[in-house]
Amino acid sequence: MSNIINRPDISDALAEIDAWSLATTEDRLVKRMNSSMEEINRFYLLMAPKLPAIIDYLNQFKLSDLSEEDLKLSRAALAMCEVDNAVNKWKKPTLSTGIDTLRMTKKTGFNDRATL
Amino acid sequence: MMGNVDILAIPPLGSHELGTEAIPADHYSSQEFFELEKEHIFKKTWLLAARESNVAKPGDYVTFFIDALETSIIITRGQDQQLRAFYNACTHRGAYLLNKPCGHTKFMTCGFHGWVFNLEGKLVNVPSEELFADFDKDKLPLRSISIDTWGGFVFINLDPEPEHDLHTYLQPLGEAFDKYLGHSDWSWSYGWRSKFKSNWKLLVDAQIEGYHVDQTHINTIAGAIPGCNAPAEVYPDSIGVPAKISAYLPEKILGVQTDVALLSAKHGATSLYTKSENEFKAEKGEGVLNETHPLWIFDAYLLFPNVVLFIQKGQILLQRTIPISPNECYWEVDFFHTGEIQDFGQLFNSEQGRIQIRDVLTEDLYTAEGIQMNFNAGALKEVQINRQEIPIRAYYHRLMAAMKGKGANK
Repeated sequence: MSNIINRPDISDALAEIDAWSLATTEDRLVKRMNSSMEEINRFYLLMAPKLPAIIDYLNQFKLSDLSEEDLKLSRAALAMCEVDNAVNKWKKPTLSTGIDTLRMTKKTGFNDRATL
Repeated sequence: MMGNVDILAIPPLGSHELGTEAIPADHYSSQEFFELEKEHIFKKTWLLAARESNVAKPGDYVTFFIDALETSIIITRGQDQQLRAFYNACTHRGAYLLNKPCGHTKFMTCGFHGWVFNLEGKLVNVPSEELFADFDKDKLPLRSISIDTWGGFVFINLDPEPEHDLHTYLQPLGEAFDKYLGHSDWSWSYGWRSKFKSNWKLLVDAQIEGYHVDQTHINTIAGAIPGCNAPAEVYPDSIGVPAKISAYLPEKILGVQTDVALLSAKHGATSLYTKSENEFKAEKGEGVLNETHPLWIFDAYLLFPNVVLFIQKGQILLQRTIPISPNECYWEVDFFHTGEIQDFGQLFNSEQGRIQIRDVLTEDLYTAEGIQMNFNAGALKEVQINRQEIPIRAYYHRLMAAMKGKGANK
């Protein structure tokens, strides 16, 4: 029988997890673009030490079986992918040497012709 | 001497075999040249239009639009399992028959007066047919367009009698590529699309050389993939595949490997810039991946005129441009993977890879509109091309040959 991994203690990051646990990549992108570096760093620094344990914890469930609270935690964990470059490479909320990311419209299929 | 030296040898980074002269810039901005491109290229060459899996069953359809030509194309799978392409134009008075990007239907009914066509393009019903004089439905089928498939992709050609069949056109990418890329396990995962104030070829140029990597991607992946030493190869005898570039991991990776990236790598690798752990082998597709080389990441092939096809272990990536005017185009990128995401680790890995390549692409796309304005303004008349950038020279040579109505470069 496999070991059950307990939910990591996230009690000191509840407000940040609430703020960043947005449903889609695009929502989290806009959140990052509209946040100050202070807000981004606060979220990152609170989450970073917990992230390996959060991934291991969430990884034991079927994605479709995540509870509401764990779904929220999973979205906050995914938001770490969104802020990673801002914190560790750019030191700014947005990349100054790229086009506005919002110009890249997400496609829904290979033949989707939607554009902004 | 055998051993690591042989195993780690990386192909040459390009050559001057196609010349060293500067390349004129007016083909990026001239309206006159653009009009000729429409005639000699977009009405004469094979254009990648769809993925075959989107038209897998009888009744499935997709639409494809070539903006510069204002041409809307329907691709259907008939009841006889045949793929067909038609102009999206009712033979009554020219209205579109289908407006969605894809779907499923038994018949194509014009929304204007209700003419009905079957999936084979035959006109099968006309309301109040007696109103027409000397009327014969058999003489009014949809106008058909040349179509063929390769690698699981559907190509169309507006030339009713294409000079070359598709498989000849795409040599040297032979049967192994057809089998590998066409395997039914590949499925579309995600993509983006955007409109740019730049010539359609500029965004292709940006993807077929490595020289830009160290500067353009200084805030993302510079140091983690090769720049000046990315191998480049040209195929002067090919009709539709002018060149290829490749990426091999540097023996020593520079740049920032973040904790998030390292965590992601534990659960797979879906970024173009890391070696994928995903296994995928298509029967008779052996040799497509350079798997025996420990540092190999991807090969990227230019499919003339408007596609760059990246092949790496576990991932296919396509970048395409569609011209609108000399100064405007659509750009899109599409990713194909195998298997469903099952657990959060895979989801995290997919998200991290997707965001990384998105940010890298924003850098790739950053320079084109400024370059275009400089060309429009006549700020410079020609561009300089080094030997690592030889795919751009091969692309230009192929373009000019096509404009003269010649198939191959020679």
